[in-house]
Amino acid sequence: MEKSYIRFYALREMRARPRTFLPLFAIFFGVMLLMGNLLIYAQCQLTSDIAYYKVETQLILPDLTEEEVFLLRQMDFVRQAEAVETDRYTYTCYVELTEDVNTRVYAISDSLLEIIDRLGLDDRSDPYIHFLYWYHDQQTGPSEAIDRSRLFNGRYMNALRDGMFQPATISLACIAALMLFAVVVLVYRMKIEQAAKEYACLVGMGMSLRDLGKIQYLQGFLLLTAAFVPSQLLAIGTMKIVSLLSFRLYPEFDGNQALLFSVPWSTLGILYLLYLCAMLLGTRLCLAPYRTKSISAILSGSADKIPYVAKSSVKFLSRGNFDRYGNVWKQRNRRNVLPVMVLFFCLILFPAFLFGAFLGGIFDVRDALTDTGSRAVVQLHAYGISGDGYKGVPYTVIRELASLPDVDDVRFSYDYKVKGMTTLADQAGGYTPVNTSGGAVDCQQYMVTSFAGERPDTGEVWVCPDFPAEVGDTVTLRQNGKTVDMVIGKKHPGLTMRIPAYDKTRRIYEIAFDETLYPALYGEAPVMLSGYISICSSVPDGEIPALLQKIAVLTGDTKVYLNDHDRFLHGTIERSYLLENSFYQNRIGTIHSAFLCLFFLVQTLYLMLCAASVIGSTISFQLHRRRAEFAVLRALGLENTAIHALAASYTGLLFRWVIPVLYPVLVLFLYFGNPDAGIRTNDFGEKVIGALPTLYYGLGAYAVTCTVLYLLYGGTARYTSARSAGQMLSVPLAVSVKERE
Amino acid sequence: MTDNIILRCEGVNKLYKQGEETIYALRDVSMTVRRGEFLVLYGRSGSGKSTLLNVLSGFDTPTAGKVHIDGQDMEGMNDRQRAKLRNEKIGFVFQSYHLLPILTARENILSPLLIGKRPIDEGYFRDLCETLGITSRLEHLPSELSGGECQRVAVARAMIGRPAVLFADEPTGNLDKRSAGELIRLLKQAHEVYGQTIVMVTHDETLLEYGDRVYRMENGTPVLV
Repeated sequence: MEKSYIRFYALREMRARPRTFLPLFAIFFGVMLLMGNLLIYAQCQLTSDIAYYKVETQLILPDLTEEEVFLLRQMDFVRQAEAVETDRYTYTCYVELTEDVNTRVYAISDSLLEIIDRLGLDDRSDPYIHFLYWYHDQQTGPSEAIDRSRLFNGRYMNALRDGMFQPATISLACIAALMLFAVVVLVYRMKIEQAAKEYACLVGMGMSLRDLGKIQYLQGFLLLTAAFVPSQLLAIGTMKIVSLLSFRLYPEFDGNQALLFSVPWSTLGILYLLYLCAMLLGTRLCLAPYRTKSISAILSGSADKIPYVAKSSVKFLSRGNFDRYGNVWKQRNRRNVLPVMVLFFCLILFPAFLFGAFLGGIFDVRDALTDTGSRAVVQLHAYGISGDGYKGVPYTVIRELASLPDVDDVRFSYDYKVKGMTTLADQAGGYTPVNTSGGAVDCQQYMVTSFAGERPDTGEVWVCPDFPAEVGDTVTLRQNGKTVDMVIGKKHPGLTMRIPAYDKTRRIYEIAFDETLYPALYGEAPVMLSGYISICSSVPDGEIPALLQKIAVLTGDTKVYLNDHDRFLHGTIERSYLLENSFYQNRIGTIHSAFLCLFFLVQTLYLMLCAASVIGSTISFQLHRRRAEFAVLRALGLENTAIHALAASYTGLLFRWVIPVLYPVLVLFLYFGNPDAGIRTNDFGEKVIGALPTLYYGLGAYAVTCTVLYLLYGGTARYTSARSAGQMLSVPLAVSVKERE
Repeated sequence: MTDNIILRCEGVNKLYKQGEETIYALRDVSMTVRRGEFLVLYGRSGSGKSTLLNVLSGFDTPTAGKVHIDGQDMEGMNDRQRAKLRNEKIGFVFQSYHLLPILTARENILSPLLIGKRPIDEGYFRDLCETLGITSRLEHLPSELSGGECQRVAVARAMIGRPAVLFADEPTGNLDKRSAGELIRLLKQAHEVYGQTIVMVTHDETLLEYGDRVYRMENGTPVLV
């Protein structure tokens, strides 16, 4: 016999009671597979993004002073730092890291963090944040003209932030642990109730409650480990296969895989520890009620809760008919509604919801593989409207672009931001930069960017909160001898004021205005639009170069620059804009997400099968718990068909409560949680209009998923009930009655 | 004489509340059990004999009063101390056996020693099984044993740790007359051969002759017969 009785008993119980432990295993397996995969997804998505943009590794650090560039070059992990003067006092620095740092994504993040820390760049983070938000949602790919370097910077800021906090990972891990905790409490409570007398007997023989808890915890630990390892191996293996498959299918991307994947060991470790904690807490919580009960009470059964008998007895007996025994069962089933709902939510409806949500993945994959429905998007980047002149794409050219036969749509931004710079010395000299009576801001530096989809009205400016004037005041802007008066319409928190490190007496205020400012300041010159201009076309893949050529002719562009680095260092900046073919990047983005959808779809289908087996096991377990009761009923003369009916009544829970009640709740949750619609939208009109597709989608998903649920789970439930009842009825009555004790 | 007392209770009361009603299961019970004594508690159903047994064995806590087993006061003990006391000083035979269904007869019998991490005395184990006539049934699960065999396994389990007191709660309640007679003779034999102190509860008047002392429970109070 085993030396450790705790281990011995725990293992023996697991072996002797497969009916109890198999559902537990299936539940754990299911929960961990699902939530573990979501975690892996969150982690590898991040890794994939970062690894992807590590191509041609560079860090671009704008707004550095000469002294800072010097310090930067002294850092041990910096192999080369090339500085390009971008203003009178500032440099943009292109940094190449040493090779040992360059190969590891997080090492690069750490280096960037260290640079920011050592140079004290925190207080002038607006360029970084600017990059971050500007490029955050941009899908990029390995096409020839991708502006990788800027994206690289933005992505690294992302990585830096996520690497430090990883909110998605942490929150998913917490959700997973909570789900596991709920399942442990529900299932272990059931299990401990079943074996309460045996445990009381063990305590009676001298086992402490603490040791009894160790038995439960050891079983949980074994189940957890047995479920965790294969489920995560399965998930990782699937992910790896998808990654390899995407690479094989699209070799033309020259080493840039559609989905890069690396195993997030640390995340898995954290997840496992969290699960262990949830397990420990869950088992402790289940045993807690027994600490206050005496051994004799548990052994005599007086500690059992049987309120349903008391409640139903009057109704039951008053009919004087044993057929009414079904009332007792109905009450029992109602008692089970809450735990069953929680169990089903954790393991069944959540996967079902995902199943519905990822149905669209099939169509995405089809589109991506057959190239139907994909659109070519050519982006025109117009850079740099500076104080020395104006550059960008004339509005007249944009009209011509829109009239090209292959072009479906041209989208561009109207919103601008300008930095008005002045000095305290100027103020001391009587020159008022901003006032309400015709003063002026000396606009020495301009910066153009998209501005969250908003823009000021004509003749109106928005200023940063620190701007030395109030809403309603007039600001006079001056350029090339011309002045424009504009009214301050709003102090916008998205605009900032900063003090440049190279001249602490200066203040740089951000001001946003609309496109009418340009013709007002520059006279007869055409309106120049700067920023991103997206030209959408449905031309086939092979005709993209021809379209690019047409656009290049119209815009007068003779050269496509690979990135900012080339543009600054090697290009002659005759025209300060950049053509970019976003077709490949969009396509690869679609493939990327389509594969992930497919991945989740496969996983979810597997989970649904897993859940069906859990339903079967749970129902079988519940019915066998009552086999002695069935035997007594049979002995009292109840017909076999009535036993079948009682057994089947358990499945009514699924049809009456769980699917019709919980699933719509989940769909509503989807609707309200949608960031583009529902209660999270500020505008009421958008709420209604934005909600419609979601609702239609929800209804469609609801219909499809309900059908699947009814067929899969309902069929399983009915089959198990019939089978269990058949098994019990096949046992001789004498044997069944003996099993009562 | 005091050293010879293995079990003592003083002023033990046990109350149960059922809604508004208070039920006195035990009323001011004070009694002693001497080492090596075979004490029988006799009474009708509901007279409180099983409750007294549970309180004396530490399976239940009294509402008031004190219980000393082998000189140790059970009041104020923590879970670990109580568990140790039950493991080393107490053996219990239940009316419905309460064998652990997933363990064989051998494993059931040895459980108290394994729980307490105490060495197994193979000679004593063999003798006990021989005495109780279960040697050939040791590898069977409880579900494969008859009622009489189950109860004999339960007796062996209660005695394997050489407890200070063996409590038996209607040990013959689930047995036929012949099996019941065999079991009670075995208990008496164990009492005589091993000097085992036994406190037995029964409602069967034919078993009273086996007791050195007999108490009759009347409304929660034991009366010496």
